[in-house]
Amino acid sequence: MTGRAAAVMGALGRRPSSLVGSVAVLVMLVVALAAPWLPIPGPNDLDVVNRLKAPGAGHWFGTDDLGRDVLSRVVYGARVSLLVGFLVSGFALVAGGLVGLVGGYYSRLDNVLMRLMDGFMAFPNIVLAILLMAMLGASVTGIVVALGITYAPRMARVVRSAVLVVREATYVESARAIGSTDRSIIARYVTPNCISPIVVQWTFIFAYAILGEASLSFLGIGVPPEVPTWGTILSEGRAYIGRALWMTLFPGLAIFWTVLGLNLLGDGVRDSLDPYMRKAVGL
Amino acid sequence: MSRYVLRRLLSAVPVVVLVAVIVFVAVQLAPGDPVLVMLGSDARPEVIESMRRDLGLDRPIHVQFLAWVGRALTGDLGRSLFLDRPVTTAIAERLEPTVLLTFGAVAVAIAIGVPAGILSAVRKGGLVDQAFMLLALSGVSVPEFWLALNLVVVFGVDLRWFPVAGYVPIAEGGLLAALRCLVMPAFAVGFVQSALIARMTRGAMIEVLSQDYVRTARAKGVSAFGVVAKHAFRNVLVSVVTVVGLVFALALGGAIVVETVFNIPGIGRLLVESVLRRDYTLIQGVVLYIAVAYVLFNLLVDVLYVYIDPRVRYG
Repeated sequence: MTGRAAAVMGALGRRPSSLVGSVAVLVMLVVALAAPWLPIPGPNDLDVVNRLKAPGAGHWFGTDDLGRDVLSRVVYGARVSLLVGFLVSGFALVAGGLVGLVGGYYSRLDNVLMRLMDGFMAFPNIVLAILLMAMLGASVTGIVVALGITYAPRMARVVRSAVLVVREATYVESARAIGSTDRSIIARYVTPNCISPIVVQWTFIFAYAILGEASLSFLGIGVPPEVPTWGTILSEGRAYIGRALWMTLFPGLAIFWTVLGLNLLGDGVRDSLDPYMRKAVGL
Repeated sequence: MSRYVLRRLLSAVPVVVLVAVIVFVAVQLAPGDPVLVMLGSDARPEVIESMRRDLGLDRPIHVQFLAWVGRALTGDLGRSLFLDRPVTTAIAERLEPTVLLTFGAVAVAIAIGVPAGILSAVRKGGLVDQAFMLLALSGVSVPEFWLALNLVVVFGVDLRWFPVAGYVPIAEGGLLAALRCLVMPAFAVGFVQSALIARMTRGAMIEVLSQDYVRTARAKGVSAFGVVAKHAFRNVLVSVVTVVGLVFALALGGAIVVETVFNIPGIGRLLVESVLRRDYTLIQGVVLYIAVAYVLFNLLVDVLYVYIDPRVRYG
């Protein structure tokens, strides 16, 4: 384990809030992965006799308008919602990270790349995502690319500013002096030293992506309605809000639980890696 | 001072150009031939060809782009196929509720966020601080539309304080009736955004309170309230103004989603409907309009910032 990675792990242990956050995310992840083995009905199993049934024995989270088990749909929805969050943050990490790395390291390309990022950041996030969804069509791939492009500029900016600092460090200067190539300097010295801001940003983008997917699917332009995600379940429940609150309550709580967990985790890691923030936050 | 403003104005030009390029390219890359969408796939080839020529779609892409930008500059964003009227007219018709909702949400966010941030800073590390900051973190973790749905159940369906859905334009029912329809949506969006303002205010206030001039004020015998209200608050305000642009964008984004919950016929509904109907001229026009409005708003905030903070003016 490198020193930075050890610092991140150590930081998690020291801060109760980030520990709570990581446990919350982990629990949701385990539930999502274990879904097929849990003693719950399938997410699309119809039980016409028990339509719109309130939460109780047999159906802990109640049933929806078609008699489907809401708990099962929320659990299976977690699989898609978390996958989308993971892939979006991965897309933003790779695309934004590359742009930031190149822009920060090669000052000649910096201006062009950063102005391009400014262009993308000039849109309110959801508006850019909606525009890209119109172009890509409603699908899981579409939503990953649309939200990935939307959040990549944030990652690019964070990585760029970290690279700008590292680039001037004496160890990079020494590496250059002994004749290391740009590629090896970037791979061996620059990237590892930018890890902590990247981890923090990655966590936040994961959280934004879950919220973004939910919003787009709720509007009917995200994931196709037949795929259960927290957003599509909420969208279906909207029509029954007065009669069957549980159809919207539980998927919403699942989003809240996961996003709060990610935010606690991201905040915790950031504060413990950044002494200035630690002082300002005063915790 | 005027040089700074001029420089800031000029710096917005390339951003606006880039925004136009992104919107144009995105729509060009969309699947499907716009002419076939309009005429149907069984149209005669010569009709298709003549319409393509009429719309200028046979010209090189950069010529098409310049023509589109040129028309946009004169206020012509094309004609919506499904609404059968100019895009600018459609936007103008839907603008009122979205503008009121966005500014209402920003007002709610400031009204909640600033006092919460100040209280937290003054009671740094205490119970009030921890409670507020946990609430703020919860705020950024909640989807606005879900909060809106729950508000509908409590205040619309159960208590019947506010209308469950819909919007009454000012011209029909007056400003009060319009605002009454927007109380719940503005609160849902504003509460979520207040979290950002609260955290920003808290951080800035903690920093300001540790400054020498605050210590001097305390030493002079100024009361705790006086220190915060008279000496520290002005400097905190400067930091808050810097996030107002971001909060505006987030509130606008929130408004776009929340309009669907309340069936408010605003720009957000217009945009979503245009996507569902694949009305690309309308999508292009609405997105360009929103993005340019946002760039101009940020410009306004930056200029305002110069007036509030003399350090920027003389720095």
